[in-house]
Amino acid sequence: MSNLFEEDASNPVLMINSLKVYFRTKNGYVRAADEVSTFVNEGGVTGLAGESGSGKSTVVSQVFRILPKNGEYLGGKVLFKNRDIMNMDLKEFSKDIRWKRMSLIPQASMDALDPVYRVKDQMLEAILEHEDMSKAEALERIYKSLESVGVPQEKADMFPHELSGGQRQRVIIAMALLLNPDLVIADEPTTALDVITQAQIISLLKGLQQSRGFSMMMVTHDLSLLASMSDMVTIMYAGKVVELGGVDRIYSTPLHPYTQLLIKAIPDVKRWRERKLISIPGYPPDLIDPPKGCRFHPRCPLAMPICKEKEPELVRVEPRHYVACHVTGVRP
Amino acid sequence: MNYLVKRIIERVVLLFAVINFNFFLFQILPAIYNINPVQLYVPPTYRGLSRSVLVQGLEARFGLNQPLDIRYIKYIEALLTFHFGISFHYQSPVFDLIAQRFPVTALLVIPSLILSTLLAIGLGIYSAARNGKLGDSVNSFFAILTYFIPAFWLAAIVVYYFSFQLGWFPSSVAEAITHNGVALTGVDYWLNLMKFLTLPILLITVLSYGVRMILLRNQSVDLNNSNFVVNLKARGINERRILYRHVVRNAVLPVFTRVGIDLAFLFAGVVFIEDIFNIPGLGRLLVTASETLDIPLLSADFYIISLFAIVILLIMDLLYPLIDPRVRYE
Amino acid sequence: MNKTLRDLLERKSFIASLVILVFFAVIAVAAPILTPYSNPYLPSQARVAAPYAVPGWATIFPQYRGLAPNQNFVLSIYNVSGGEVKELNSSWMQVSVPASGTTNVTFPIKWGYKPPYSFAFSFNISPPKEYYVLNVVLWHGNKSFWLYSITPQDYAIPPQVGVPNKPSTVYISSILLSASNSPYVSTLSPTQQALSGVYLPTYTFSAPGVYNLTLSFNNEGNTPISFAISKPTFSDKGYAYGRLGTDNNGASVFAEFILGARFDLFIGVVASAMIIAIGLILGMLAGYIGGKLDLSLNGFTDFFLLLPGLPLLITLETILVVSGAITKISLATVIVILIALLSWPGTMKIIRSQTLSLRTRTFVESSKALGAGNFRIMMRHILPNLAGILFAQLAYDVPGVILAESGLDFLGLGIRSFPTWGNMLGFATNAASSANSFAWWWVLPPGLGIVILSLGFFYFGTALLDVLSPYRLRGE
Ligand SMILES: Nc1ncnc2c1ncn2[C@@H]1O[C@H](COP(=O)(O)OP(=O)(O)OP(=O)(O)O)[C@@H](O)[C@H]1O
Ligand code: SF4
Ligand SMILES: [Mg+2]
Repeated sequence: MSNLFEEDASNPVLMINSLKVYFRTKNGYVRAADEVSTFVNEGGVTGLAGESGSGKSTVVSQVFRILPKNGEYLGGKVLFKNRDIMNMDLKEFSKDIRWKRMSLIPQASMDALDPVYRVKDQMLEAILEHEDMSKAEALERIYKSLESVGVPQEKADMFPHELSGGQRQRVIIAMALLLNPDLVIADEPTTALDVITQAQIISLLKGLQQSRGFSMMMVTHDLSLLASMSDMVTIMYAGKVVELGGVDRIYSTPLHPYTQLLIKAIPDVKRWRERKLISIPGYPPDLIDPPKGCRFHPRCPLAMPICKEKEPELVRVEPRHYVACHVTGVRP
Repeated sequence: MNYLVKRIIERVVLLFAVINFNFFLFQILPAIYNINPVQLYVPPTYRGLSRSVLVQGLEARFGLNQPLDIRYIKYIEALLTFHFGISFHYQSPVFDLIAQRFPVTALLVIPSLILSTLLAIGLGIYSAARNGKLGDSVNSFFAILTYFIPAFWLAAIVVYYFSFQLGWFPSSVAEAITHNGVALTGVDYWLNLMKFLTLPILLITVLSYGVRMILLRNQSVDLNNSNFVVNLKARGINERRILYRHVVRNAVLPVFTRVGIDLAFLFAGVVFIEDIFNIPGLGRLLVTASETLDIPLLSADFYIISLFAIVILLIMDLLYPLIDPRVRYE
Repeated sequence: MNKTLRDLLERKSFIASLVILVFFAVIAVAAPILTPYSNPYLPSQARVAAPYAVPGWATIFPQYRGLAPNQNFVLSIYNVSGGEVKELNSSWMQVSVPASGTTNVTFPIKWGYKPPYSFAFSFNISPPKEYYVLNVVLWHGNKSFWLYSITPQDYAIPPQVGVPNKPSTVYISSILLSASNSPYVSTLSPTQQALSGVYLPTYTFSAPGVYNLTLSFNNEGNTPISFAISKPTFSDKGYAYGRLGTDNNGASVFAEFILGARFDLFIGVVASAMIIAIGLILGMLAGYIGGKLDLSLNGFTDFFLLLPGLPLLITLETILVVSGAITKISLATVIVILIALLSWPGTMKIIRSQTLSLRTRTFVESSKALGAGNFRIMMRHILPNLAGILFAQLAYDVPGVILAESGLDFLGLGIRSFPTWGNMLGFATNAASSANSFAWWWVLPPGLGIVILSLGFFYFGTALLDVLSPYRLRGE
């Protein structure tokens, strides 16, 4: 597998190359991530956007190797700082990479933390699993970390259910930053929160990213958010990456018809509370039996006969800009 | 409202409903069907007094000739003071009968409850750790199998082989607590009694661990797919630690509740084991009482069982906040 | 629908449960064909073999080797001495006895077993009008047993046989022989005489070998006489019988087992259907209407859950049946109804929670907006969506019913007059503790029947639920 992004990703923290993950279900395989490729630059923020069900979380799960039981990793490379983490021994991966160097901010939800342990103990567990340090030192670090996300120290003694949704999400962010990782992957970190809290959490994240300088992969529905915080944007549709590029390229000259529609739809973002961020005519395809050829063709205004036959490949159309489309994705 | 107060009120209302139901069952229902329970106790061929005089005498003695409202008041009074009267069948005070048998059944039920819970947790963890593999399938199959094994059937087979055939265990209490016709006392008495009870206790253990085990296993499997466990994995926490400290710790919560319910109802539920092993416990007492329509004994027995169940459930309510921080007394 | 079926058939556990259920259903339906007995608990249908006869196939085990099966055959080979025998047709022959002579017709019997439980010989005879004595002797090596002696009707000493020149039947059975009719039995000690039915088979057919039945015709007159006689039939009842042996009354356990299966399956399905009906009505009302009604129905259900089931069942049964309050309805019906009335709470809870989740689904909301009445919504939208769950729940409820009913029968408080798996176990364990003998072929089948049938229903229900719940994943 040659490196598609050779010219643009000089020293990526994370490099995902043709990652393929399917889910076994009783109706057949769900092709949730089909040859997905993207990367995160050192110190950069890569956004990953797409409709609900396009496979974003699937990619994230496989990067952490935490797929549900029926998920199958069927190939592709994932390099973390040039180390192949897909084939790495799971123990080693757990010990050296997970959390210590790459952490996860999951979607805000009631049960992101274990309900029966205090916040403090769960954070302590995360530290002591990876680092040799005294309990006092660890606690010190926990309090600092909580403070940095704007959670009062005494909340450390609480149980998760005693915190508000926003506090819980801040705790989870603090948890993700506990070990000073090189890369933080945030999977829709604000979805379940109310608008005001969402804004607070996002600005907190932005601030932390800038002050601490970790690299980030930001999964979201919200394209306007990516415009303001990321340097690279990856657009997924139905398990495929359809367009990827520098944030300036994507927003000023989107090439893929799907991206174009998304960008046009941005003013509609005011309706985000209804989680209908992206509204494009037609429905996302069934991933068990996706359309032949380009998966977007049933909804595509530009579709040509060839689109039903042949799958378009991701090609580099200009520096830091890749598109998978028969019509717009032509090399200059 | 305060958690505990709310629970207590709920339980007391429930107990009151049971009390009224019992009154309906034992006093009103026979009246509707024109049955005079004491009739069952007057031998048809009794010589001496005439039958109707006897029946009237018994009625007066047991207060059955009074109107229902008076009987209701007396009934409630009896329940509150634990003066349950005299059993028709045994001709001795109901309270004594129950008091004698209670410890016997407790000796049977409590050890088996502890053993079966341990077994359920052990095997449940085993299955959860091997979810979907052969070991789990076999283990779960056997647990489910135990739901459907008739206690009396397995008990009969086991008694035959272990007591009669192999002679490992005494086959009756009487045999167990006597030696050469002399009743044992002190330590010997208890040792031999426990030896006799080993087999029934093991049987109850095997026959009752299944529900709790499957509960624990299914909870664990569900929890394994829950967000916080997935996050723990992403956090690089050791698998065993996740299993024991997080998954099992959470999965045990409903098992705890289940143990309480089982404890509350097992006292009346070991009838068959008591029958086959000839153990004079509460279950047998209850069955005899229902067969003979021994109304004083029956209504007291039903009451005690419900009272016991409610007390146990209340204790569980009281303990639950200690193991689940989400539930608070406040 | 087809897809659901296909999904079901892909499951091994479903196939296995289907096989089990079909097996028992076939047994239940075909019971009258599979066994000639309609109720082995009737005395007239007992003693089909020895009590505690082992199953026929069990004789392959060393400890049961050589146990005699039930047999019944015509003795057609014979040899003659002192007279003449002419075959009249395939079954009748003519025996001519010279004046003042004796004709012996000897039939060899190959016996390959240990002693039988009982044996019998029977033949038809048409005697002459002259005086004669016919002695029936069984012998083996140098031991001989003078079992029976026949003289003409007009002569005083019993036993005697029929009208001259008219066929009549002679039936000689080890059970019916006694000191008064059998010369051999009268030579035994008084105690043995009293139990001759027990001793005779062991003395006569004491071991495998060739035994001879000799019919000895004596002519005391001075003219030749002749008899017409049919070839004798030998039959025995043995200690190995049928597919599942016999119980303590010598009744066929196989017949009891399949009749029990028939009854248990019937009662299980009927009572479960009633449980579903009660659970459905209460659960759907509570879940759909909600509010105060839900609160009270749910409370009512909790209350029912608190009652001790078995004692309550027995008490109600005592009040209704034993005391004679209900006489018009059969005991089985009363038991079915009582079990159903006491077992619905769990089912109600499940249906209630299903209804709750269905109610919030959009289609109900939208039909509400269109102004459909509650009853209509329940019938049109909730009920059809509950159908699958109801079937699964029906399957889940059957084992409980069967166990409860069996428990009642086991304790001797339920049905006793015809076989059920429960009362088979009850009788078997009672017999085991009194006779100190353990008839595994009697104890195991009903218990295994309960366990296997229950597992069948359980896995059937589980497979159904799995397939019907939309978000379950394969291989989980
Ligand atoms: N465990 C699973 N079993 C079967 N299918 C699954 C499973 N998890 C996800 N899928 C399917 O895989 C596809 C991708 O899901 P994924 O969660 O990755 O989407 P997503 O882009 O993260 O969506 P969202 O924005 O809603 O989080 C979806 O069609 C989803 O239905
Ligand atoms: S390949 Fe064809 S269908 Fe697909 S996006 Fe391009 S134009 Fe549209
Ligand atoms: Mg997602």
